[in-house]
Amino acid sequence: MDIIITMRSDKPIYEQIESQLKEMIVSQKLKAGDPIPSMRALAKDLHISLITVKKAYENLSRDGLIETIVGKGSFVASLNTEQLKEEKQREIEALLSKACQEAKATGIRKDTLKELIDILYEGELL
Amino acid sequence: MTSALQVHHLTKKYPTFTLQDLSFDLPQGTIIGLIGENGAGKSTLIRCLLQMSKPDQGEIEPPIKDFNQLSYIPDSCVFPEILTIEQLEQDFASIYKHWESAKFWDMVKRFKLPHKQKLKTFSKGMKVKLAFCVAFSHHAKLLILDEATSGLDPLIRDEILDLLLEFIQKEDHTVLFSTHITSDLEKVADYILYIHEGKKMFMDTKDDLMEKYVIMHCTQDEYQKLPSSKIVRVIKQPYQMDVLVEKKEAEYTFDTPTLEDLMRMYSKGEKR
Amino acid sequence: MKGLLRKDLQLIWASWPILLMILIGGTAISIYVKEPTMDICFVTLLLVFQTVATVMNDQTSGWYPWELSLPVSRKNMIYEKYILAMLILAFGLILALAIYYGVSAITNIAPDRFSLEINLSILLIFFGCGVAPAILLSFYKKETGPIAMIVAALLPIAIILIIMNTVSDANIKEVFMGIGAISMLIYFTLMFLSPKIVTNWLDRSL
Repeated sequence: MDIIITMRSDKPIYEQIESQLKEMIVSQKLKAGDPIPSMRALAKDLHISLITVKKAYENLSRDGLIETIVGKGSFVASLNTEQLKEEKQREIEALLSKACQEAKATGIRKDTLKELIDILYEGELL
Repeated sequence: MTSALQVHHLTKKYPTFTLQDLSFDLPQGTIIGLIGENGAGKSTLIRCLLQMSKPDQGEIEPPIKDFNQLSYIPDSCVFPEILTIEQLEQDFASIYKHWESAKFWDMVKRFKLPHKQKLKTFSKGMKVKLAFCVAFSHHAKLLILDEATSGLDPLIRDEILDLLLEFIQKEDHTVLFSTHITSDLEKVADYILYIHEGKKMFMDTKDDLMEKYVIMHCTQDEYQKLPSSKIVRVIKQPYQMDVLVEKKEAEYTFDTPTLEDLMRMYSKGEKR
Repeated sequence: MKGLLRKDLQLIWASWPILLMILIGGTAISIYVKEPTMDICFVTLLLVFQTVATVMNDQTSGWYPWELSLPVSRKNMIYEKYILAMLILAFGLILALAIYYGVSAITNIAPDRFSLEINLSILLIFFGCGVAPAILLSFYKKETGPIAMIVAALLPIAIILIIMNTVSDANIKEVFMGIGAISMLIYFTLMFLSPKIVTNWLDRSL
């Protein structure tokens, strides 16, 4: 498992951990029931504070992506396909939102953007 | 979260200096960084925690009863320098109730410290590493460091930060780390307690501190227009005003503060 | 306390070359001036004063007050020094007597009971009125170590000189033995008062 954090990002460290773990879970690189490192072990290996890791784990727990069992450790929660789809959709929304922002900023019209999506989507399927 | 220690209204008066009405919790299982200028009262506070000094008022709960569970590493080596590690190990084996000889020698080996050489031949880094070997080998639960890493090169300090993270792998282990080297705390500290002129300025999680505030740079005119409620602290610089505000109130040009910046704003800055 | 005793004995043992040299030197002098009785006090006190040296070493290295963070009670921490001194007194005395009888044989001066009793009393006066205050004073501040040593020497010497100048020869042995016994009382009094006094000092220092 790879988790890469950087101090130089605008994104707080706990968010970096959270999003990377989330990505691995949603993309099924980490499957339901797989163990993930304990908070303390991860803090030690990443050379950061415990509370930062704790925040990430608490958020992931709250979103239903992981579960922590006292005395046993933390594991990937069993997600049903609905949840996975929802997560993916959320990600895609974020990406599209960025695309829209960029388009607006450079004066590309909504129609042009829609055409672009059509071409790319079709391209994938071909 | 359970507390390793709770301090209630601690006050200690000296002719030149007073620790005033300090109250805080040391959450168990975390690394707490203790920062403050020289003479701010950090060492005095530590002496009170260790029961080396008796406070004039206030309590520490629970007062440390079993010193087998405590490890204290001060800023310089306290072991007699004409002795060797071999000799010291025999001494500590008799002093501590649960001395783990195997663990001690393991760590000594890990740090490549010579067994039979007198301590006076050791470099400062080696002496500090030895102090850690001792600190980790007697089932200690609370580790208190008072400027233990000053004067060490960054590589060794990094190794020590690793040791601290290793120490808190157990949930009932706590570290209180008093240091000037705030960059070290920015890496691994969970909480930061800032003491200035004998008073507690703040005690917060490091993440919150680093994320909650920014330092705004603006002109005199822009500063005058700011409502007082937004201004946490301000310092007048020759060509600009430095204003500490909450991130959500930020405008103009601003920087994310380091712990050092926060200390500077709190100690030299004023409220409006 | 065992660990602390062990550490102090290691410390004292570490200077065995110097101690040996001084021992040999002093013994040689006692042979030269044909005064074997001086060995009784000289040898014992040479060793016993090493206890004061350990307190000074503790202060310089910072071992004290760091050792307050160890699982040793404050009382035991301080008693340890006095107990160490007594252990060394016992051992030193045996060595001193051995050397005394040896030098007596070499110089052909018969050991006499009178000198022996007076010198033993002098030894106790140095012990109670010199070593004990010196141990206590060395706990005060880092810098008071040397002063402590001087007190350790001067106070007993003063007492001895006063006795020698004021008491007639007829009573002198009894007076010395009496003061010797009182000195041991002083020793134990200081020993039991020390923890409280040292705590007081400690509390007042920054």
